[in-house]
Amino acid sequence: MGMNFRALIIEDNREMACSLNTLLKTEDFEAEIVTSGLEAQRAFSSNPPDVILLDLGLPDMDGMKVLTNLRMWSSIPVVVISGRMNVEQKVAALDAGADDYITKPFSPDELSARIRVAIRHKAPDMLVSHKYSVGDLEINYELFRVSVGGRDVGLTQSEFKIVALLGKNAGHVLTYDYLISQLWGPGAMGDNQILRVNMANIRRKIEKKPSSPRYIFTEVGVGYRMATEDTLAVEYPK
Amino acid sequence: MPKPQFFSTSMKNIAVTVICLAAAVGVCLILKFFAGAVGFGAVFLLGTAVVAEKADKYYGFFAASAGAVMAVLLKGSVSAKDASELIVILLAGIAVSIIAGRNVGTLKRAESEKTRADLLRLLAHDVRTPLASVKLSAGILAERGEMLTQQESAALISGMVSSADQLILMTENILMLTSGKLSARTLKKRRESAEEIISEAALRFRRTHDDVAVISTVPEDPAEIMMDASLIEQVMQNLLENAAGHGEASIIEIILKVKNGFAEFRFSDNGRGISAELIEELFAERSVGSADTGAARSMGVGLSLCKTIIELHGGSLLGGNSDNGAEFTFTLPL
Repeated sequence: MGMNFRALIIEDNREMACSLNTLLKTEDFEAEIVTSGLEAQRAFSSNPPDVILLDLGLPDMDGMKVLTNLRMWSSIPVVVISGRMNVEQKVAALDAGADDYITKPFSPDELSARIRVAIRHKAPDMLVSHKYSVGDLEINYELFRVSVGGRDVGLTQSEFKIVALLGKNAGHVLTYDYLISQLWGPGAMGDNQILRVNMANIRRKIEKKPSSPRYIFTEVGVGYRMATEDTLAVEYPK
Repeated sequence: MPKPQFFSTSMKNIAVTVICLAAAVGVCLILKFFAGAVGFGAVFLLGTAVVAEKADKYYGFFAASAGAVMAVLLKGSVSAKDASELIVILLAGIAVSIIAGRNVGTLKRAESEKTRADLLRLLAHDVRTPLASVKLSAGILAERGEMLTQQESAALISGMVSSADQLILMTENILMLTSGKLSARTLKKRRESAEEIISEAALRFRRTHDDVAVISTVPEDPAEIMMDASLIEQVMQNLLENAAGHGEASIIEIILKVKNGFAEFRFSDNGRGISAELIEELFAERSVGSADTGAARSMGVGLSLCKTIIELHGGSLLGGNSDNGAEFTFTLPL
């Protein structure tokens, strides 16, 4: 039995904080609850947690300030909780250093998966391995090869780079701007057309049903996310 | 003593118009320009623009017309040349009023758009979070119920009930905000017994919060007040819910006093109290939602609605902290 993970919950609604606390307990986390940015600062200065859950709530920048301040001196994984329509809020949070987001309302399993991915990604002993596989998909970084069910799908150089980035950050959302700047430089940001075209081609090659992708999810308005074993969607029965 | 909104705005506009006209005439006299139409016209147009910008374009029209009439009267006699000059000035005055007035209108509209947008965002948060909390708690109980202790399950269930109460209150607040009842024109006031409204509100509240004691104190001859009973009851529900929810109070006192022609309703609790930012917000005319802490933000919509309702009735809403907890007081004119 190792040391339990510790979580800091920054949430102003009492009942939501209680639900989050209980959920984390079922995941063997110890949780501390604070209700404001000020309390949060005190909490993570005195006893840094392993992961932070931050409700962005309202656009008065309180949550964003907390995030920006935190990122000045720490890379503790942060998962932000936001509303479904608030695309700008999500992108701003990710750009400000949040590791991931989850939209209200969500189920216990969804949140658990996000937290686990956020922590796993920051684990210091995690080396970038030479391949990533999920379901029938396998990405071989050394051989520059992506195969589905053992068969090489023949991606172009750009297409491979995109899939490789997503694979190395599997489970995490990568914003459109991040992907574009990694592939085509920061100057190319702002126009998603080229990325969308590449993604459409990728899906045609790796997905059985490109219109219902299993391996790469679109996070509308935000970016793309590669599935992990526990988030891989069940195949549509034929 | 707070005046109803309508009168103070009109009086302000009239005052602005009179002052500007007087100033324009004064300047003309000093510069002895009213013999020359151009000089008079320039000063006068400036005055009209100021009137239209500070008040609105209709006051600007009035100023333009009044100015033209005054010019005629001051000159004594009017030749054809004078008449055409005056007509030009009058038309220019009207044009200036429209332009200056429109900018003001746009600015006012933009400000109220932003307030509406902020309010909607607050509302969305106040509805989404309790709903998400209910869904999450239900999910935990359904999928991981056997991992929880008896106490943890009970806490989740009671949290679901509280969230539902919050949602019900929010829904009623939203309905009220969008009902069109909240304007001076459509407000329907009737004679109501203050004591009855208080006991009705307390009873309704206790039905869903049996762990909170609500104690009311009314004077020997409690007042009859002109009010919209459903709106005032909604104010009380919001104040009670805030005290029990955010404040986590277990005792709420409602004290009714009659003072200086007003009925004063004080809601005093033994909870956590409210933040300094919220107190400031209640005193200021700023738009709701600019307070910093989570608790203050969450109170935003409900309290803002309360403030609107009370002020519509010609009363005032104040909040602060006592030695025990928070204290909210609203007044209604008798």
